[in-house]
Amino acid sequence: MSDSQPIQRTVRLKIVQGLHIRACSGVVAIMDGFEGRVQIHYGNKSADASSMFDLMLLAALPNSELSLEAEGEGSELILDQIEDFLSHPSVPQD
Amino acid sequence: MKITEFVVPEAILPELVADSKESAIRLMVASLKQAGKIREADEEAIVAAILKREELGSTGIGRGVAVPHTKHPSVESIIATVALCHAGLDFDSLDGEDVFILFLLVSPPDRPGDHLRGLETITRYLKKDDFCSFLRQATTREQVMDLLQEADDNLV
Repeated sequence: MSDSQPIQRTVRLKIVQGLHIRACSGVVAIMDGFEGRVQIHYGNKSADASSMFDLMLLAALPNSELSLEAEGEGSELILDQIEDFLSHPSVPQD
Repeated sequence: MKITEFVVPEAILPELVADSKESAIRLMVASLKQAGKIREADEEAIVAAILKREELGSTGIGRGVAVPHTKHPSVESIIATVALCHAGLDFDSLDGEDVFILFLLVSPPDRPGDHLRGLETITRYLKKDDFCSFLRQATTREQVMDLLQEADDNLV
């Protein structure tokens, strides 16, 4: 699939405290320098993955299912990084 | 979750004067102790836990806001206080800007959902420009609580 087309992926949130502040800032850090756009969907809520406030508003619980949607050059790589980050429980405690 | 359910009115510091992140956190935790929500014996441990958390990454989340927090077994439900630092405070924020509004939270360790919902509530209100603007202008506990109540009632 071309990077210019939106791509989607589903990920199980394994961070033990859920999408807390430190986890949100981790996602924002991964997004730094990416010129495309990533949306994270949780239930009926959606967040721009570059926005700390948007991500915190998701209040995603541990072991919940998140849908990632990316578009722009390098979308596959950025989703790989975000998926890897969200799929591990080892984010420092918050 | 409504913000007035967990902000302790007596612990609000509407005119915080602090010269560092640590002193601001100490004053806010002390205010919760003086309000009777934290035992004196737990005060230092809670301060230390919040400072340790800040070392992992600042909770200055941008827009002039910081949300220092920790989990501690001495509280049975989430509690919070608000401080307004009208002169601005260097908090090593993610956007590099000073903070003017601080929400300090202490949550029970075994209820991550409550912690996340508390943060979500605070974030949702702070994302509103009017709420931030009015809050930064407040100078009394009553003004802060009135604004929090209005936000809970969707009036701002």
